[in-house]
Amino acid sequence: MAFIIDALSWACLILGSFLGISGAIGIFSFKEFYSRVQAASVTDTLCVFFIMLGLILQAGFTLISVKLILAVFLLWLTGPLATHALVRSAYLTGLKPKLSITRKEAAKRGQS
Amino acid sequence: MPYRYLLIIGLTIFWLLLSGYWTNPLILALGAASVALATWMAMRIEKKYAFKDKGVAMLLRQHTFWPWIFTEIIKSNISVLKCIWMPKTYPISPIIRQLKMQPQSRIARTLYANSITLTPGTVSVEVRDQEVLVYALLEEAMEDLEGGEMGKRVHKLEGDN
Repeated sequence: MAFIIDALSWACLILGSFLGISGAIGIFSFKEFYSRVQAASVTDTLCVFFIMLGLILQAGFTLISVKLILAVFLLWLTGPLATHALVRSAYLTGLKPKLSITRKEAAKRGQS
Repeated sequence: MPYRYLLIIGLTIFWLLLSGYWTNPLILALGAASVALATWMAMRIEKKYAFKDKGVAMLLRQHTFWPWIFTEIIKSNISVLKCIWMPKTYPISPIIRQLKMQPQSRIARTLYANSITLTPGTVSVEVRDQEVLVYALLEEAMEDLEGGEMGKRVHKLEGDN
């Protein structure tokens, strides 16, 4: 039984690390600001979740794991706020995203 | 005002869980003092924007929303991962568009915009009265949002009135 829990926790930790590394690679491989933010949000969400899940499985269900769950919860609540503030300020200061469709077509569909 | 009691109960539980010392009277007194201070400050902030009755009702219906948003996060994570690791086969198609919002109340609109940002691949750039400006990494993600599944679910959390 202990072996199964260990294996599960290690799988979660490795998956979480993989997601974190992918987020970092995405930040470097995407070309402009707005798409880089998307790569960072992979690290924000599932990477954190899987690493915390792995740590909870390691620690067993104690008060510490409750604190870890709270940490995930707080990160998921506050992460979007930080991302939104960053993107909004970039947009308002006039950084235009590089889009795949033309401006005219976007304007026809009601883009501001 | 129910919001105040909800805040006090929630903060007390939060403090007890984080502290772990449940017997020492001095530490408990300090905790009570900090809960009182935090509640007072929160009520001062909220004085201008009256916290309408929607909040409690939405809090009670959250359990229907979180499992769905979790599966949505996993799905969009996978699609963004594909774009990161195989940019040749899955090219990104960035798109920005103004969407109508279904949720009406302030708190529901906040929840909706936050959910959009939380799912990788989409970011809410700017929120106006009933509209939200969304940037999406993939056109499919934008089409999913336009389909309005998420808006409908957040709208359902609000209840009827």
